[in-house]
Amino acid sequence: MHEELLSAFENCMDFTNRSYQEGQLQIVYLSSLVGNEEMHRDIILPFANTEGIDIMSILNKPPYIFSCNLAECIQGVLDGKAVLLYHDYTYLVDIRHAKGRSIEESKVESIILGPHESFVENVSQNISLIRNRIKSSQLKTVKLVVGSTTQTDVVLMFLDDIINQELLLEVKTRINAIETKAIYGATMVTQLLEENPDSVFPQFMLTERPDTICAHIVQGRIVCLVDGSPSAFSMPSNFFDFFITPEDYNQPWIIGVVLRVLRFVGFFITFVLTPFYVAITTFHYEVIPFNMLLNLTESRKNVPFPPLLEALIMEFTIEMLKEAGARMPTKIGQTIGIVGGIVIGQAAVQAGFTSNILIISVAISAIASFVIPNYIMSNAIRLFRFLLIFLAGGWGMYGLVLGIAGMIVHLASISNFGTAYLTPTAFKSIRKWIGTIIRGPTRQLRQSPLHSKEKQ
Amino acid sequence: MKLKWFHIAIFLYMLEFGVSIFNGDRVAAENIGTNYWLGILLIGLFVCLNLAFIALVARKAKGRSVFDIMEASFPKPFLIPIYIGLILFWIFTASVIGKDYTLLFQFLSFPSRDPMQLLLLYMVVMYFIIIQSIYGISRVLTCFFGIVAWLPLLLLHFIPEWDIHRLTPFFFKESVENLTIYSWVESYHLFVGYDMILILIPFCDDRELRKGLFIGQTFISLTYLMSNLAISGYISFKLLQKLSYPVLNLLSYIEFPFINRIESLTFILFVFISLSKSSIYCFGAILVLRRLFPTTNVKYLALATISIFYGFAFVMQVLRQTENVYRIFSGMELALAIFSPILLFLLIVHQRTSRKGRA
Repeated sequence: MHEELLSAFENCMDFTNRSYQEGQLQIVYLSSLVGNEEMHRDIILPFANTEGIDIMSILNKPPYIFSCNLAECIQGVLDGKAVLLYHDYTYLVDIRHAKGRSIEESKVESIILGPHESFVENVSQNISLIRNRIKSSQLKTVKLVVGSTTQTDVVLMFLDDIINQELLLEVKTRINAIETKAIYGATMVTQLLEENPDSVFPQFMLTERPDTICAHIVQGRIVCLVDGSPSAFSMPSNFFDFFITPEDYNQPWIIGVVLRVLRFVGFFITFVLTPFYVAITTFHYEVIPFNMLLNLTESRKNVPFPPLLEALIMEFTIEMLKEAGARMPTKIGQTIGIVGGIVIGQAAVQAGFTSNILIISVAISAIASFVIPNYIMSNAIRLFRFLLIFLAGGWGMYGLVLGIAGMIVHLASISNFGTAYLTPTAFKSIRKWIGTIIRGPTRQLRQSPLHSKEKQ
Repeated sequence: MKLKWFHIAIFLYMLEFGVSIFNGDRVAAENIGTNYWLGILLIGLFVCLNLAFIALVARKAKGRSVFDIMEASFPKPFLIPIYIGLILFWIFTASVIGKDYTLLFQFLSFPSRDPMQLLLLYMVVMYFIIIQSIYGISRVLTCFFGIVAWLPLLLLHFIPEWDIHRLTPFFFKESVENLTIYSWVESYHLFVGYDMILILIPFCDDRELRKGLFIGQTFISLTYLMSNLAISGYISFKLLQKLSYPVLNLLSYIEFPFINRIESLTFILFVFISLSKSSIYCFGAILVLRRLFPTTNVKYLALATISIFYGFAFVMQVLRQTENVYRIFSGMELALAIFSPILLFLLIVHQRTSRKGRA
């Protein structure tokens, strides 16, 4: 066994082989995965001074586990365990030390009130964050392994008493069926699980926040954590989940309702405002009241482009600014903000590139797009908006409205583990339907799971 | 999964409510006369009775589809011409609805655009609706309903100007011609389309269907009542008989500081309703096509359906044509709505008695 282990880890700089008792006890491990403290406790102290003591009496007690399987030993070493070889007997002991950043505040999903912790890259730490919040023996953690090379741990968490077992079976089957060499994050797993992979809309709710994930578990969903990824996702997810934040529940319910409605209004504005401008200024001047029409024609009289081209130039510029701002360090980001402000602000109008009213419309759409709490959803809507701009430029309000109809049809066609993406429209109770848009008072929030037992 | 009652109610609403509301008041005022709102309410009651009969058929059918019932009594070769007739009739109806909408839209806000080009976009969206299952369509319709359901509330704007004296104390007087059964059939076109509910029988429990039909019909009758009363109390009866589209005229009085021409914006939203209607008719046609070609992929059947849909649309070039065709089709739909449940009921009874006889 010793020889086979040595050959399996040939050319591994961090592979360490130590001998005790004049070579009778061999200990092998990967030094990059183990911790000094754990090493001292379980290896150095017990075996440093063993004169007159039977080594087997130590090895037959916990935490040492007997193993006679080479594959298990190799996997153990890769998992941060040490393999102890004494004569013909082999034992494993876990001396892994998880290295990674400590729990911090989420930079992507920060909130003002409520808990600030967010997930980290280490899956065990993430599990403990959830376990600390849901103290129930029904909370199960099932480990699956994905990626033939990376052997990444994928952990499913759910409440066994309320979960739909059929759904659980399907999730396990689908994850086990993933055939890929490497997995580097939860987003990759979600893309491999999606039933409509060609849709621009995110189909699984990814979050870094343990409180959101706990809420989903209590609702009867299955949560998936991926080792090495600070995001978790829940199954099944629906379109309206992407507009809900924990903030809604940390404030008085009336404010929560107003904020959620504001988010839907923001979604609507970011989606239709610029296409509406294009449709109106290309085909339907008649809908603008006379006084406003004077301002609009005044502002547009020097612009040489048709409204479609004008809107595309401005939207494209602002999308570039957003993308540049997202990648740059904070200090350079500020410069980009100032330069962009000048470019898409007064200068563009004075140069006769665009009208004032379009600048206002584009700026409001950009602000409204930040109201959507989920980054991927925000991107999807931004992309769809370009399609609407083209339709509005070609067919006016008719094109715009049919574009919206097309989006609704597309959303209705997406399914997610047997449930519809537009799930509330399929709910049998109108109360739950309204509950999606309006968050009720905390005292009236129903504790019954939303997704349990029966498929929607 | 089965459709719930509110899906049925929404299907019914989307089938009955539509562009006809824009000229419905004029047609009713011409044919029924003063206080035609009561006449519309009476027609609504008649529709309710008809729907009750459809619900009875659904109960007796025990989850079997209309086509299953027919095929149990008649040999399939005998049914093929009926099926083909039904397919063409439904697609033609869908086409009339789509073309009527695009012509009216062109007339209102897009005079320079070819209506067939507008219909092309309409057709593309419709294709993506009809390739879905009935549950997908129900989700689409629920969202569309959410977008248009509030539109009748615009009429509340006229409450300050509303005057009960304009309703007049006379009932069913001053119609253009004498009140005959034909006048009632003409006014009936506001409710046309509910016979398509028959195709939903296998997709829902009969209790849910009954509840949905009752609630949906009540809702739509109340909507019409509100709209009729609002218009009758705002526009004088003589003027009402002369206006082509009284509701559009009425809405044009609404002005906001930032937007005008509410009537054309409202009309644009009616594309959701026309689209739903056309889609349900085409979905019905696909259901029949699947009886004829059970192994063919539904996408090809949908493609064939929309091609015929677009081809039929070339037949009608002006609004008057679509309205005339629509009027003829209303009569046919009325006949279908009354006689098809009776026929189905008789078939079910016959099947049951012959089964008992055999036993």
